[in-house]
Amino acid sequence: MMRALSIAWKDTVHVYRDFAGLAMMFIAPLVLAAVLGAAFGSGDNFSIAAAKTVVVDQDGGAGAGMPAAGAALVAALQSPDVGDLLTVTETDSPEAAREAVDSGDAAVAVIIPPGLSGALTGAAPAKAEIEIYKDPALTVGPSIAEAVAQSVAQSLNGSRAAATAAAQLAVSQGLTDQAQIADVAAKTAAVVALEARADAQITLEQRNPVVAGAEKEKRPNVASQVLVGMMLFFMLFGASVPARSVLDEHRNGTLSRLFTTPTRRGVILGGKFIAVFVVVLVQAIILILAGWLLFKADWGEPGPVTVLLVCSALVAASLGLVTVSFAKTPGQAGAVSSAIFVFLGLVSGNFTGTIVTSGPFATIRRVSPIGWLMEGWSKVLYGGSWASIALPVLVTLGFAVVLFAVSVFFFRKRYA
Amino acid sequence: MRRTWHIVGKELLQNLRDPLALLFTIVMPLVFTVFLGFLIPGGDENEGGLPLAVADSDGSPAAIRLIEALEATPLLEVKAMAPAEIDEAVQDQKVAAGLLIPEGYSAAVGAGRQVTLTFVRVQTSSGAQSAWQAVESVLLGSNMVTLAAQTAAEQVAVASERAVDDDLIGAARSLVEVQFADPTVEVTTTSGGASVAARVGGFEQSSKGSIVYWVLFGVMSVGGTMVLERQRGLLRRLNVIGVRAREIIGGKMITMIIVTFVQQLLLVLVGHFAFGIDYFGSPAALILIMVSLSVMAAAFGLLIASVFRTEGGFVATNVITALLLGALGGAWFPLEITSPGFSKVAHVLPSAWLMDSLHGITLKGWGILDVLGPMGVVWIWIVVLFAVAVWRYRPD
Repeated sequence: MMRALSIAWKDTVHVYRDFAGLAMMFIAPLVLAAVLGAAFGSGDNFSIAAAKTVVVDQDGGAGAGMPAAGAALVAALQSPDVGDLLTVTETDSPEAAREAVDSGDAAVAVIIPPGLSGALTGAAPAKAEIEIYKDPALTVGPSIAEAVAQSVAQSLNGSRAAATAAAQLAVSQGLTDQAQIADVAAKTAAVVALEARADAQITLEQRNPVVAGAEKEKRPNVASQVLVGMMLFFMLFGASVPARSVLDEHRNGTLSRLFTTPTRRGVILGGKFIAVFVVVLVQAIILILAGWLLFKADWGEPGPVTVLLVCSALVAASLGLVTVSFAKTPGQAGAVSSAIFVFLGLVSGNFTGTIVTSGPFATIRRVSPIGWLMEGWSKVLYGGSWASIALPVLVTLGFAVVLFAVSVFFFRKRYA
Repeated sequence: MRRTWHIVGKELLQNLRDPLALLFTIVMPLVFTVFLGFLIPGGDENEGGLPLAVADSDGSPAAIRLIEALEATPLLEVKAMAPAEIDEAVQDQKVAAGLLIPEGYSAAVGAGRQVTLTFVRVQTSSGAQSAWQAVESVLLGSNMVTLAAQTAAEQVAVASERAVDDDLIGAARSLVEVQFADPTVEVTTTSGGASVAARVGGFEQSSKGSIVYWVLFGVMSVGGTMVLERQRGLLRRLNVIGVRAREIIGGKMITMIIVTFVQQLLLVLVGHFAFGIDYFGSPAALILIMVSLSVMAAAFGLLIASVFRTEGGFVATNVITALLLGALGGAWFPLEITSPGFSKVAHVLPSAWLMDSLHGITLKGWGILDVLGPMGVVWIWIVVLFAVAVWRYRPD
């Protein structure tokens, strides 16, 4: 056992003398977590840049004393409620507005047609079209401007529909005086316009999911969510560095020399495996502590976090070993394992995290042990406890055992 | 110059014989393109498919009407679920978001009382944001119909001196719904440029992102060879027999440019013919972007190979830098969903300008003149990277 530990110690020390390896293990995940955390906001807040919006209000209103529908839409776009999402400027002509979008000076243009108010207040049926002219390469900003315009249009249509319905209903109830019917319609429209701005009857409130076992919802900060993905991804590279030492020693002839000593081959390989596990476990612990100190990550309950740390290290170590066990040279091992790790990171959501959500993805990522680990870590970050991580832990341990057995088989086949 | 071409020939031959080079230049980028293309929502309403879990604790006709309205929204795919299952489904990313309709919903709506629905979402999910807007739109329509019907019934009741009852409200509701079916004011959305694409997402994002990201990886094979040749003394030997440094650098650079250009060409062709991305709106602009990207990647590979003495150092730096350039430049996700200021900072990097230009030619109808500015930034990077690489180059 002492010999295995001596080999493990030698390999571990060797890893910490390799600056490139250390950069891959510690600097890369922290830098990427910081960068991606900054991309999606800071602290607990998820924020996006305000979209530059140009508005052209060609609506002249419906006459003296009547509120102008176009002005209502401009006011809604300039409302403090969407102040963080839209930066609104007004311009004179639709051509200028479209040019602003085409030249990239604005993300979206809202073009209010002439006669909008007239179409809503006139007796004869008429149509009015509010145009949203958007930069085709953008999505979020234009959709916010569109949502505001749709909301105002719904409100305007509501007033119009209410007035028309009231007039028809009045006739059906036996009213014949045209002036009285018009008065009912006008009053109805005015009340609806007023009430529509007040509190809606059905409202929507949002919250984060509450994980099984958690007492209340918890919102992890963005950087900690990104760091989990980066940590698991770069732990694979961390494992592959000491794992490749078998191939390095084989190429340099030191492994053959070691085999001539009275040390069983199982002990030598055992020492190498211990080194791989220790290196990734230390890497994970340091990254978790760095996340806590640098990003103020609240990782959750210490017990489940410790179990997940050990599981992550076991999976990373076994994956690092298995990818190296197929290779013949260190160069081949580096390239093949990089490709496999990038693929696993992609499938498991290490790069996209919760940015992208779709039904099939939740299923696809479970083909990978890293996907299961991501699930477990996500539950802990959202306040989950033992019960919520039980399945991910069992599955990842199963993966680790199988992968380790495969790597032992290949190493023994080659060196035993 | 003859020696340079000999080096190019040898490197290309070595690349052709290396299955790993094929893996990094073609196989992995295609896997990325396909996988991320299916994963990132395209956002086209006709595509549908944002899964929304709905838990109906009320079970009333009013709640069923609301669910039917949600089902009629093209962007959403409603999945019925028990209230206890919603949180886990959202957290595990099985659905984009969850909606809880509380018990007593119908009674509250009937009595005109305010009622609040709960929307369960992961804060960072863009799918959840789209689902939120779709649900809000449905609720807004529902609220307006109720308000308009109630108000019309009340005003008519006052004028006709009768009480407001369910019959009157029901009649008013029917009339209002007819009016809403043919609204006076409509909102239409048109895109600038030449594109018919509804928004960036799906393959529009993944194809271009893979090109920019994986071309940076494409230099790994040639750059790695250069490091190995230095380690084994081959570069020194070439130097001793009279091959000049500029011939060696030129040979390596030209090889990296050829390899990455061919890689791009294949990815562009797959993107165009398999995923319908209109890369050939302006062939001249496309070629300028591809050449710029290839030269930039070659200068980048040469710099890393010049600075790092070990294969491990080269691979680590290549992986980290490519990841950073890809993530910061919008190759993984559109920069518009990032925080204020991030996009501006990201545009210091060449990858962001390359992504902008690719979006420009496929979505906005950009031509050669439009991409000159962004490519100018890329070429500034190329000059700097190349100058440092040549300065740092040592044959041993």
